[in-house]
Amino acid sequence: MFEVKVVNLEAELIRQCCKGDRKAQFMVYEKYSKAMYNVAIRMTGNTQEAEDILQDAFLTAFMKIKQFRQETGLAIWIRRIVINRCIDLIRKRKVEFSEIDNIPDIPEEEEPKVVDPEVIHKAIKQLPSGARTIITLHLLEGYTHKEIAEMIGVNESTSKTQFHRAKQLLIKKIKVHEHEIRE
Amino acid sequence: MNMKSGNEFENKVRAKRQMMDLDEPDDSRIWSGIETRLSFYYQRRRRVLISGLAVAASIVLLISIALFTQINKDSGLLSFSSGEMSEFKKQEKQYKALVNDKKEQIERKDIDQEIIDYYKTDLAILDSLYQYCLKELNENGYNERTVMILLDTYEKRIRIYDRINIENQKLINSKQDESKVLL
Repeated sequence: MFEVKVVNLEAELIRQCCKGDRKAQFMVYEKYSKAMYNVAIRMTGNTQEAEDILQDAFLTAFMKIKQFRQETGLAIWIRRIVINRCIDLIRKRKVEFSEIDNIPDIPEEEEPKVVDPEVIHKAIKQLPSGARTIITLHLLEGYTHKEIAEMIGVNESTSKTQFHRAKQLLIKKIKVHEHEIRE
Repeated sequence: MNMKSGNEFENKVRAKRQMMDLDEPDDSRIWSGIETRLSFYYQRRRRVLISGLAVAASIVLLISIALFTQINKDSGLLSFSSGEMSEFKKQEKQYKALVNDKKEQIERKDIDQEIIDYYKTDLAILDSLYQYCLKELNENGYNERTVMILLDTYEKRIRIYDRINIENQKLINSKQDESKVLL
């Protein structure tokens, strides 16, 4: 019963947003802005760009909300808009996903046993742009390598290789952070 | 999306995904920008709708006149003399030149596609009405009322192209105002 009620609240919120109800729109913004902002900042690595993307994404969502089919939840739909905006920006910057190839072979690092979310978040933001994109999309947002390959215009095996290298870089950065904390 | 694959480290990171949303956006600035841009969007939509309704109403009136007018060979309406015919051809030539000029102006500019799409149907209706009148003139000979309707389609087209220009300029102005507000 409780679950049905939650879905109906969202449906009502969407209905009000379709009418252009400012309060409903603000409620949607307030509910999802922090999560969406963190997706954007992890992908762009830049506060200003992440805020611009956040604003554009919510504006697009409110302008096109009548087209939202409600097959997925509102959060998933808005998140996809945010990710698409980030990818557009990354493409404009012509980020080379071969940039990770320029780093000498990264020795396999022993994976940390304990995972501190704050350390991971900081480490991801410090990765190079291509690595940040792959890690965010696959590790955090759950896209498959096939989906990522289509999104960023590489083939699936490149996405897998890049992810593996990005992960090694991430682990290395995590260890540096943990070492700094200990000191 | 595949959230279950991956090794222990990846699964641990995924499990703590929600806790990684640590950065806070500047909500008041971002929401203020969204509100401002949404206001411009809704204002523009209302203006386009109102002017579209006005044009649609005059087209409906024109079609009604054409349908209820006795445009047939037994109507008993006066036919044009050869002098009147050449006058009509002269007027049509002038109108055609004006319409083509307006059309070229539109094509040269970077007009918002939404505005063009909005008036496409009206232009198509005027084209159909023009063809209908032309057919009547060719089959039944010239008469004043058919000629008036035919020439009026040019008038309406000119007004639509002017409308498109005005709406586009208002959009450009509102975007410029918006950027002043947001900076």
